[in-house]
Amino acid sequence: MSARILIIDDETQLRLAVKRALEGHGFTTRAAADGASGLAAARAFRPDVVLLDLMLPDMSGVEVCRELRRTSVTPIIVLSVVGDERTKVAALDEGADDYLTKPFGTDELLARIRVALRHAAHSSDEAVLVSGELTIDLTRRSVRIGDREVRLTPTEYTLITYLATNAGRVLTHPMILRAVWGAEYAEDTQNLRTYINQLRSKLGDDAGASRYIRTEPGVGYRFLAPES
Amino acid sequence: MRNCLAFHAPAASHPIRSPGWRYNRSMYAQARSRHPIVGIVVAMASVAVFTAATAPLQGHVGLLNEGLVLLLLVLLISSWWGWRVGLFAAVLSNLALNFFFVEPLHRFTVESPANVFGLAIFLLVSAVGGSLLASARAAAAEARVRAAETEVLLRLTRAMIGRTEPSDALASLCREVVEALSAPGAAVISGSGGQWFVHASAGTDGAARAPDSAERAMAERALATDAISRLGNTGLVGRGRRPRIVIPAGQSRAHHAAFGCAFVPLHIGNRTLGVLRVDGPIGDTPFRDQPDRLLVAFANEAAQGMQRAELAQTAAHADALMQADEMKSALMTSISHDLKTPLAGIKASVSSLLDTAVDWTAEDRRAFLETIDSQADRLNHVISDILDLNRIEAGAIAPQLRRVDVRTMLDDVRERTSYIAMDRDVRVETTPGLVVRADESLIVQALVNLVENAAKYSVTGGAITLKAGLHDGVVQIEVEDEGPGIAAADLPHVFERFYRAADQSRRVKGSGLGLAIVKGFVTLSGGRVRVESSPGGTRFVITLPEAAAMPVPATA
Repeated sequence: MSARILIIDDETQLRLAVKRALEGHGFTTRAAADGASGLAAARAFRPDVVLLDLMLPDMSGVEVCRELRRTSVTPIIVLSVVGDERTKVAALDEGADDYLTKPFGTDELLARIRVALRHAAHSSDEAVLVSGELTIDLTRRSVRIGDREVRLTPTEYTLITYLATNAGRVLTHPMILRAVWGAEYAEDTQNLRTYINQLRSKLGDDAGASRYIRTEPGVGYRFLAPES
Repeated sequence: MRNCLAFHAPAASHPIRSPGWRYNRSMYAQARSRHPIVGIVVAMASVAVFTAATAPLQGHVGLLNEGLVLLLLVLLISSWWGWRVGLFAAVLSNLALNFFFVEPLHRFTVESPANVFGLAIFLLVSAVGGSLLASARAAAAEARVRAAETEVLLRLTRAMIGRTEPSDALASLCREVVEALSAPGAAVISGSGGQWFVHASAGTDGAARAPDSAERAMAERALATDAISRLGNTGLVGRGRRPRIVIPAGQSRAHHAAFGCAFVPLHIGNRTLGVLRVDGPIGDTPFRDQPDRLLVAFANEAAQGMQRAELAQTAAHADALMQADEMKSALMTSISHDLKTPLAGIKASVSSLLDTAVDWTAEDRRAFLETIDSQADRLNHVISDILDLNRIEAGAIAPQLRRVDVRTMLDDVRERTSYIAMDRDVRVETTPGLVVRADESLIVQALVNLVENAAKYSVTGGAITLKAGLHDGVVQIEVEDEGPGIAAADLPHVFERFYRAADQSRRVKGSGLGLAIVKGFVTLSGGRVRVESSPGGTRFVITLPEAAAMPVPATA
């Protein structure tokens, strides 16, 4: 059964082009031109991935995101334009998984959809997380690169497991800070940077050509899903 | 002499009203009559009259009674002419008492030691009492001057407050000085060497004169010494460019010369602002005898006022910069959105067509190509708008004003907008034979923008009417739609660049450039544009001069 994609965007031409391109690649699609009909379609159509434009005529994409998250964990990929940065981050904070900046190519869109689908397929109660040479064993609380055991502090361990269990998703700075350190540290971005740098150096990861933790400039971090 | 005058500050109450001064002139006439010489004469005359009047009683009334009457006389004279004249009257009365009333009569010798003691007591009591009374009156007069001063400074503060232009603040200062001192003129000047400028002035026409060499020297001295400097006799005779000044009746030349033309340094902190020049003669005001203290207070107040004005100006400037900055970022957001959105459609279509993994049907290909085509048009439109606005703002458009037939022009607009207003009824209603003087291409573009605007913002399917008619010699071209109208709060801003009505900015996508271009084009074409709106619809009205009013070229 082919994956189902819901496209919510008020730009008719873009909506139709994306719909046609995705159908060409074998996806089942449904399209909506505003927030209200998008939410209705999400309930009726039960999509596997939602593509959501941030600027809709009746409500903001952030509100749509919040509404969708009330009832489902369906991956949401936000479609944004340069200048929408704040809205984009707000949407990610409301539970969107990823973002794609307009204009985008079909191949890029397909790649993001695949990552989102894979992320959704991975149930979060897996005991061992693997990405390339990196293995995180949640029951034994051990982290290994190949055969080598990586010694992590408790905070570093919490951080890497939070990132890895959300592999493929873009996690904003406040989201990570809230999850690992607590709500009162949500603003402490500098501290997070320090920890990410420590983690990268212990994992032998390079910020420029990252294998595990990719920086999303001005937004947050993304743990690279296996084979993505 | 000046000290003496200081004690003789006007004693009567001076009604002070705000705004504007109303001096009781007769009080000042009295004040001027209180010259010490007059006092001495009055003292001698009154003692003589008293002595003559009481001559028959000499030697019978007793020293005490005559002494008490003379004491009253001394006190009255002291309070009116001050303690010096009072002392003179006391000594004179004492001599009169001694000579006429104390045994042996008509000699300055005294027989009885009791009378010696009595005369000494009289002298002491009358002198001390007189001087106490005189200083109490002087203090009261001083208090009144202070009160008047406070009132004047308050007026100055009120006049200068809220001025954001330093030059306005200086002009207020000059006006207040002229009014408070009843001076012929005042000016704020600054400069050095031979280069001096008048920044603000008030009063007679001569007040705005450029300072001559003597005045420049005085102004420089005021700045160098940080004190008031004076040019005596200034303006007593009409010399050079200085105004001829007529000394008012009742005012002495000596008094005028004492004031002359005063130069007061103005500083803000360590910075020299310039010099306040006050022309004499100053008039009858509570400050006539002590103008310097008021001038210094004025200078301080003016400096503070200037500082406030400068701060306000800096704040306004910073505000403008911030707005420009916001404008710029609004421009970036708006332009990037308008450019990237059509690009997104193009990119999605092109990358799909290039995707070899899918075997696209002919219908798919055609759909992708149509998207590319329409989005390229849209992109072109946005870019044209940006360029048009840029050309308007850079003044790069030279309008070519010609006779234009309105009917033909409106039909052209309908033709051009037919694809935009697909499901609309675009009507043209015009009086036949209307000819305007305009740049046809600019007005057509402006009207196209207005029709596009109407199609975007009015009710779906509503009619759009292009109407033209002659009203009071000008041609009105209207573009009218059928609602929902523009909110009153948005109405004054619709022609601003990037302004988007709050409730529409999400519903309708647009750059917010269209109406700014309309205004620019219409203005360039010598016309005006305005907007009227009600919930029933919005009407944009362009007015243009009728061509018949234009002289027909000889070669036509």
